[in-house]
Amino acid sequence: MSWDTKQSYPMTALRTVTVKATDWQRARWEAEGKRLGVSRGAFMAWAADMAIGFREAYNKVTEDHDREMHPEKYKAL
Amino acid sequence: MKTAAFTVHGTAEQSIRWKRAAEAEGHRSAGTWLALAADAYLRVRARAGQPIALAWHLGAFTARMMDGREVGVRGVVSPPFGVFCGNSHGPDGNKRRTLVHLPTGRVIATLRSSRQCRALAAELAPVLLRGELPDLMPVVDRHVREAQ
Repeated sequence: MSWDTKQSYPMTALRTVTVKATDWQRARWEAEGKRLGVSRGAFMAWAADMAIGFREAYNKVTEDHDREMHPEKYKAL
Repeated sequence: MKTAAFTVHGTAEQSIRWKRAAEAEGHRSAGTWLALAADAYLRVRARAGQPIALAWHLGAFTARMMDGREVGVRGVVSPPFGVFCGNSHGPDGNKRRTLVHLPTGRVIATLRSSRQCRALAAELAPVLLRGELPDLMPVVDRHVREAQ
């Protein structure tokens, strides 16, 4: 385990995903990671979890709104 | 375009979630989806108008001077910005630093220090990402005033 890995990842982060990126992308992710106090990889893991969280929240709010607006669609369910 | 590969570590649960999200959005691998998610996060920050952290390194670039000359200069670079020692008349040994928009070579501002140029670039980056280049002047003017 490298110094970087010890600082930024939980002990149970044993899976790896390979990411291809341009120099510009890598530099920006690294800079954003530094701003957040984590490594580039840890920033990406966090951003990925955030993206999933946002999408789930969006889906839930959209469905709740749809239920309110069109209750008849959900009566049979 | 030159690319390089690196690995992102995650727990088993994260790995499953990322793969599921990647498949749902039609990606062939979780890696391409992760890159998209990270870029999307940075775009959201940019749209919110928050300064973007830029990564600077030493480099050479071309700047267009006030008299129209295109001069090769050395300084620090974080695309799409570069900073060199000098002003809009050319590079020199004084302490002032000039921020340049690399794609056009256009001089954005000459400020007292490299740190001030970097702060201005961090604030301009979101504006540029939104494609609002003509609206740079109010931000530049404020930084020039604060630097005096």
